Amino acid sequence: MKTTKLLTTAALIMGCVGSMQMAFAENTQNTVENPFEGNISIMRIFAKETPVKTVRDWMSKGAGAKWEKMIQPTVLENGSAPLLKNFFATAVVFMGSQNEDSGIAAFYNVWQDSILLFQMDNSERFSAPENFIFLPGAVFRGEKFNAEKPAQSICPTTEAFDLAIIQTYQATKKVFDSKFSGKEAMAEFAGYLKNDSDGMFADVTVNAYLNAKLLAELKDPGNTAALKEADRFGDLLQSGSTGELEKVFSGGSAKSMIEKFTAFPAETRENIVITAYLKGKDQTIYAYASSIWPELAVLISVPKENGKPSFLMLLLNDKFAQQIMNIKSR
Amino acid sequence: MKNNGTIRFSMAVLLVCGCVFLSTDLAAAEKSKAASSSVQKNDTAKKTKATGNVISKEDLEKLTTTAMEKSGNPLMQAGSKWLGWIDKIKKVNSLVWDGLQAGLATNEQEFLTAWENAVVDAFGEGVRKNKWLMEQIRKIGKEIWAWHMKEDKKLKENNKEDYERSQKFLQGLLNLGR
Repeated sequence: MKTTKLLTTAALIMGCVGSMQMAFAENTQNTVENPFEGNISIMRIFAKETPVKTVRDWMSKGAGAKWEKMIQPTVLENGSAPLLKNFFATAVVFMGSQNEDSGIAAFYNVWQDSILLFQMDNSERFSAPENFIFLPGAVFRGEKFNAEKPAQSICPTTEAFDLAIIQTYQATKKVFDSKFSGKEAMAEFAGYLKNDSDGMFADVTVNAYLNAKLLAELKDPGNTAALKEADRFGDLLQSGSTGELEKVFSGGSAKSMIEKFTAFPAETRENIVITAYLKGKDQTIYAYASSIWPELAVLISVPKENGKPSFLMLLLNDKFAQQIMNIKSR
Repeated sequence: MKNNGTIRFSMAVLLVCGCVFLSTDLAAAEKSKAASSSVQKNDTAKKTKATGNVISKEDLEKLTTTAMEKSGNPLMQAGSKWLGWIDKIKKVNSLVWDGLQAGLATNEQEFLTAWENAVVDAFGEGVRKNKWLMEQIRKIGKEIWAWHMKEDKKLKENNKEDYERSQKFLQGLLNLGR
């Protein structure tokens, strides 16, 4: 983890945040206007609570049975599926081309770097998946999955976490748009279906497991201070006022960024959950995202030496990601 | 072995397990358990929504075992059994863990060979092809041996007669097996 990049990037990012308000507004509006996306977003909200049942019941009979069988290894004796819950809680919706009969869509979780890709049957009143495949992001992007070298967005080793998140998100979205925006969408989907479904899901589970394992450090008996800190930051993000946040966090553009953050609807902020915990040599990073609007993420970096934690808001959408990448390439 | 996917899963899960066990202080596991459960009780009372989604290490271990048991794949079910052995090693104050060889090992090398064979028996010869994985298995083995020696000495000191009797008994069983 190249720790210093986080702070410097924060200032650069702020330049984009303002212009992203427009993108955010457009995006939100699209969600409302596109009935297919609306349906999918609603299902995600239910799936983050009861993933096993919700997804099974939502899908066609055949797809539901395939889902139930495939995910069994990740369901605990009490019926809960915490890894899947975490997947749906902070997965963003990707929409491919849609018509009245069918379409392609996906849930993508950058923190677990996994994508649930599905073909929709839009002929019914409430469009539902009639086939799907759950893939690790690497395989979806045409890279090789390697359990020994987890995705940079899960465990960054070569670059700063904020850039890793944005780069991984953008690379995945780019592949999705290039394959599923046009007439070839169904053929591309059929290509992905050739993968061994159970084997792919096994790799998806490994990704989710790694993310969960890093987070589980917070529950370590010797790490109670970190858990307290994670809870304190969580409380602030969920309900802290602009003034309260400004008192705690620093950073070149923290003030402006915090003002924009606190302008988000209360419901979006109240449902913020932790998505990553990374303990580096020079700093510790706590990442959070809203389970109501997962495009909204916040990284808090606590320096090892004395100093205020820094606040960095990320928006997971195309325009924001592109601008960040442009800044980086300059 | 049904397909490559399940094999890969087995290997990947084993990889992850290897990391988990490596980072676990076997000798301290029992002691920390009580502390862990009391901390978790407190967590439940204080839990805020933001960290409510964090899965505890214990649940993660349960998930790994569940994934193996439910896979319907004999290879992974064997892996689950192996996890059971690890559990025994951690929890039971015993000279013997699922095999006479380990209990009878008189030096580290003998023990490591037995340990390696036991893991390969459970997961299949394919495990040997992964150099990294084998290295992790050996590292875990070394830790277990260190723990074993500690317990062994304690037993010897505490009850010399019982210890010698158990060694003879194990040797007899092993001879019968041959």
